[in-house]
Amino acid sequence: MSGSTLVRVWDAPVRLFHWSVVGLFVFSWWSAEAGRLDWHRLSGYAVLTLVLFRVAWGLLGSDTARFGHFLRGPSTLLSYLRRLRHKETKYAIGHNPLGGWAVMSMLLLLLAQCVLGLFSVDVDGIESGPLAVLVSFDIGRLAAETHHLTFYALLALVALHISAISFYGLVKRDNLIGPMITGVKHVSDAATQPRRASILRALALLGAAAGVTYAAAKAFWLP
Amino acid sequence: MKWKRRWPAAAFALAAALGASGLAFAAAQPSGADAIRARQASFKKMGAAFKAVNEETRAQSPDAAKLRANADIVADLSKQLPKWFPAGSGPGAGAPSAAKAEIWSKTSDFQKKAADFQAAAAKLHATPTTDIAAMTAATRAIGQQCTSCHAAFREKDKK
Repeated sequence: MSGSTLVRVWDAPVRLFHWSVVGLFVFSWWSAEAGRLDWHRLSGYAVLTLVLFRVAWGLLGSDTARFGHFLRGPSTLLSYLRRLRHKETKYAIGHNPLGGWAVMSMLLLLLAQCVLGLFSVDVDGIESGPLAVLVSFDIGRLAAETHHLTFYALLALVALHISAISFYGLVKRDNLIGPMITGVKHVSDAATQPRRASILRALALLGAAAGVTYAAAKAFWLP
Repeated sequence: MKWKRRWPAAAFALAAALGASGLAFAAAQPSGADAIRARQASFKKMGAAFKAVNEETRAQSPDAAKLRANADIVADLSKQLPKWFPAGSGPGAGAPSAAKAEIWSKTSDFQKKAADFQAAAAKLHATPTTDIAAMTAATRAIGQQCTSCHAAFREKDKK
């Protein structure tokens, strides 16, 4: 590719977040199926920490990580959908208008999943999330049953996510997986480098997210 | 003549007797679906009590009265448990249930597990709430009985 520019699309925090959540999602699934609720709880705390961090990073992080950068209104969405049918590919730096909403949906569902898990009670009243002490058995059961349904919704979104990436790769010849690993992407037209937030800020936000999760997991304010 | 006048009354008495015995029969023999619903309500009571026991044993300052009351609910309900599985309240009884048919085909196995559970629950009942470590151990032992019986006799991922 002559005259192509190497754009640093995804910063390290976004990439680490992405692949950690992939691993933890699979691990959470396995540990729940295997009845290893001790591991399942720990995995959930890790996911909650990461999602809380990602939400903060969406407000205070690098350009391509910010919600303001990738959440577009309906008109942008529609015109993007119309252009999607044509062969020409306008390289989007960061999430495209459609993918942005998919990402947001997955983040919100993951957050809901973690919060539901905190209040869940198993059918025997043996295993429970750390905040289940605040709710009745029936509400805890409802949380657990919703937790189950939310998981299927998440699975559906993951399937959509993978299908969309395959569509871009196979039909539009746009490799989306590579940049999520390496962080960089070749772009044919000269593009401005997205601004990156400092790693120190990422660590501070991650620490704050871990603190919130720790407080929920320990529930130490309770008698 | 007298019989003619009395026969509506006799017919009424006969109908009432039939109706009453029918009702009595229905009351004495609850349908399988009713038995399933009653069983599930009882297990929910047990689950709620066991949740409270687990929480109080883990609490930083356990509520002794709450712990005692809920531990004793578990112990009381454990004695009734074998009665919650009358014949005809298994799969196909007309209400969704996770109870496996083996409950009624491997009766001695099931009865043994129920007895083990009752023994574990009786131990919790006999443990003083002042000894939280012993309460925790007794609670854990009950949890193992729940899990072991459910692994054998309850369908996974079914209400």
